[in-house]
Amino acid sequence: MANDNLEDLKNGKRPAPSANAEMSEVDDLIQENAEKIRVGRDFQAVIPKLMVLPKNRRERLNKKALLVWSPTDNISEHKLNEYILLSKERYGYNSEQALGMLYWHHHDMEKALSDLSNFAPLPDDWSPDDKLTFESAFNSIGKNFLRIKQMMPDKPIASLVKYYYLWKNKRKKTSVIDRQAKKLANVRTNENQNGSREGSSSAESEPDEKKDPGEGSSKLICSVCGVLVTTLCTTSKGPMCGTCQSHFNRTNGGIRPTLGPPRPNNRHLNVARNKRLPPRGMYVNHDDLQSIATESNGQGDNILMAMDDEVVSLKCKIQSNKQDIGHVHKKLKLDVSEYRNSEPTTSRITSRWSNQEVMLAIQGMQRYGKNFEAISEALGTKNVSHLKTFYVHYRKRYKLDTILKKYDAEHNSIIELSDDEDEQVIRKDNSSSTITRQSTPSTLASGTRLISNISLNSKTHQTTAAAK
Amino acid sequence: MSITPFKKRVCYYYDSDIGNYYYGQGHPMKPHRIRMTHNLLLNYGLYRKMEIYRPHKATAEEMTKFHSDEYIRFLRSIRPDNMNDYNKQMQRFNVGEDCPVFDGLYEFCQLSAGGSVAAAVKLNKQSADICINWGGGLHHAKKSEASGFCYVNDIVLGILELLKYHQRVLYIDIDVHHGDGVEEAFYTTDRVMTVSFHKYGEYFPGTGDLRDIGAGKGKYYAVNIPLRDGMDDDSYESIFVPIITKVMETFQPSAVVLQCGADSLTGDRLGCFNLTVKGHGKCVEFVKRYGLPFLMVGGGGYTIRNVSRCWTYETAVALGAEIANELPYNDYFEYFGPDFKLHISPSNMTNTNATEYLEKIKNRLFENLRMLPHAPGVQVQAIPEDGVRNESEDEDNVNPDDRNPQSITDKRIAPDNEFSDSEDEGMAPGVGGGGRKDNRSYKTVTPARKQARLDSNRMEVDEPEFNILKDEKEDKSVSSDDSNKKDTVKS
Ligand SMILES: [Zn+2]
Repeated sequence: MANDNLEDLKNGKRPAPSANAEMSEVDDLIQENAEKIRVGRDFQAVIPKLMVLPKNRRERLNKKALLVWSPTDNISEHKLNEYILLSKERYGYNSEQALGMLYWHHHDMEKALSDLSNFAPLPDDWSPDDKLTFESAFNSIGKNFLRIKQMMPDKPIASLVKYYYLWKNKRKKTSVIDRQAKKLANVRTNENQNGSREGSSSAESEPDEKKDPGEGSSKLICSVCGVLVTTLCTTSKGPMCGTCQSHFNRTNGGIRPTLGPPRPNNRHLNVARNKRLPPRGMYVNHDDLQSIATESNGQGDNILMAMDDEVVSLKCKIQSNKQDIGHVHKKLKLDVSEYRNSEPTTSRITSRWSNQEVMLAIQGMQRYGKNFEAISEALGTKNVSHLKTFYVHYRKRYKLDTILKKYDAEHNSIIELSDDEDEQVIRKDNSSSTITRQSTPSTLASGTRLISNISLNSKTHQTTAAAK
Repeated sequence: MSITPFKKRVCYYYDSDIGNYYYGQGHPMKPHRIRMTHNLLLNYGLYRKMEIYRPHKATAEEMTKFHSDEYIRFLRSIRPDNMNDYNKQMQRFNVGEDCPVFDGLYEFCQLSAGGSVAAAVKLNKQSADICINWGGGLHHAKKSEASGFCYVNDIVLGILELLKYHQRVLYIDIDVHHGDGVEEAFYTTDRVMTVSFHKYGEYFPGTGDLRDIGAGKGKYYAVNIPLRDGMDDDSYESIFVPIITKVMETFQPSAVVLQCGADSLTGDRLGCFNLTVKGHGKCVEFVKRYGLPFLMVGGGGYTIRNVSRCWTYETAVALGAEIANELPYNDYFEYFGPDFKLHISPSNMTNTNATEYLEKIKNRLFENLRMLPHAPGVQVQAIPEDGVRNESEDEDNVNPDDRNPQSITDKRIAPDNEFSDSEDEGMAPGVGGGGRKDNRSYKTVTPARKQARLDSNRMEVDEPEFNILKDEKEDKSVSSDDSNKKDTVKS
């Protein structure tokens, strides 16, 4: 269907002719020539008589639909997840099939587990050839599944449609990765061109590479193609993987071209080398590469499929972590309001400064910088203008500017350093509140800051004791 | 105000084949959206909280409970490869253009109808509180005519099933299009009230005038709410809530069917409203709170990523489960980029529905509803189905407040109290009483905080600047909390 056809649909196939843009009165809304509901035997449904549900009806009704899963309270969420994961990883079930098996055994986990192997779902019946055929057919024909089917007669249209929606998805995925890789390559090329010498780009990528081999202990990196290998061969041009070394020997000292057209000189070698590096944090195992290249088709597919699975499970993890974070965030925002100090602060505010207050104010500045709102809240007995006056009057005496300077220097650096998770959250929010502070201090009443307040107070509290 | 803990029994109807039907290249109706919804709610962990049914394929006999024999026979025989032999009938039954002949057309209708009929049967048996069939909701189909991408009207078939054991059934339609097929089917009966909220004026299907109120015995039993472009959440709620409240009051149905067409969402390929998933879902939530046997079906929806967002959310609403805004990873994850969130934001389109306009419509409809014979409370008990209905169940589960659920208009969307055993409970904003585990840690901190303040007023400290400027701030706090607290309290 063409686009203007779509427009037709959008505006209504059967426009009411007398539609009027100017309709101030409700009555004007009523369009005299509009479509009408038709009345007659040909249009209305025959309404059934009201009945009383007979007792024996139950059995007959049950045949209407097949129950494939029913919830149970006897299995914990955690156990259920474990079961699903196991059936997925070991036998290739999806979670729906796994639950189906469990229900089949009346929620008996033991029985279901032992039966899993007997009904392992058939692996994807789409061979790599099928996929290729589909792709080329799709590219030449488009979304006409009837015609694609003529090219792939053994596939029912349903199967084509199903594959299409998954493939469409995947295709996008690949292109995103390609784009990212391109972007990285561009960044690196630019870095190189910006005057630094040969070494700079390899130095750039080194931190990435260093981390990983530490775990795999024996994994080493080829200096030509950059893959991870278990053994390196030393040559006059540096350590190389087996493939590069054999090329080196065969060509009497030639560097194996790893990408695209041969490069004019060594200087550009590094640039090109970086281009074919996988994205940050991703490593190509040379042995895998080799088996993909040399073994039979199936072998390579298996490796790729395993990697795909890994990607998927990592993505699952990422999303579920994000959900957890969101959950915690929400909780934080909702819950903290209950613990805000509800006592009217105005009644206790005095303009006289006790030594204790002075100390708290100074500590407050250490923690919040010039966020007088926050300090005032922590103090409880001084308002913002009191604190401002305090700052103006005592900045010399208490070296307040030194404190502020320290504060500014700290709040940027601490975030990454802290190991403790809770600590980290607080600090981060601190820093973000600082940013807001500079623009609109009055809007800053966020709950997270309050938590810092609380901990500040308990600490002050300890300090006072210590001071005593 | 406490309700006995009670979980809604939700049944969900889905056939894994439904996503494989394909209307044709460029056709906006994509059954795949139902599979996307399914996969999303599966990965949200909602699947395991419901009874999952694979619907049977509705038989021709079942479908002719509403449709004409000829029409169903035609649907059963037409195929893409023989459609040239059926030119005349295709014209007669309006099949071809909007409603194309595609591979598996009849089976698709069977599954869609099978789900809604089975769901209605389930509700009749009272073995479920809420039944969901996202494959249904094809509200344009007429007795002998396909229309607006709909061939077989599963809703009418479902309602007919409900009518066997329910004196009065309420049908509500929040698709952006007028629910003309259902309205027409029940235009002359007083046992079904159809209430449709839809865009009206130069818009498909052209029916749904404010003045169309039913005919014969069915006069005043069709309620049409004609709306203009750009309806947003607030406007929608401002008309939906009072109208449904009034309808419930006067009509007193014993079962409800809600068509959840998602083409009323913002950014729909064919729609022109500006609702968010939350606003759309509020309608579900509102109807749910009446605690009546409740059938939820799908319908329109042509921006499929939003359709699946919407219906997943509404499945969660039916279950009373909270789900995270971050989407779980799923088979079609990339469709939901770039944000990968559940909820969507409204666009900046103008809402051409003025408050006064909505007010006028509302008053006009109230006048109509006043014409209904007032259904007295006695009548509800007098209807035959009460003989088999489990009365105590009704008494227990329907809180007086639920019967009149204006509270939904309050800012918070409170999960029904009956789900107090749910692990998500703590998410309800500002609700007192719910024991939220994680609060405790803050609670224990609070007294200390207040104490510190009190103490700071009383205590004298000799050399503040020495104390603070010399050391870095936190070093001192190493000493244990408790001993320090004791000290300060003593002093
Ligand atoms: Zn629609």
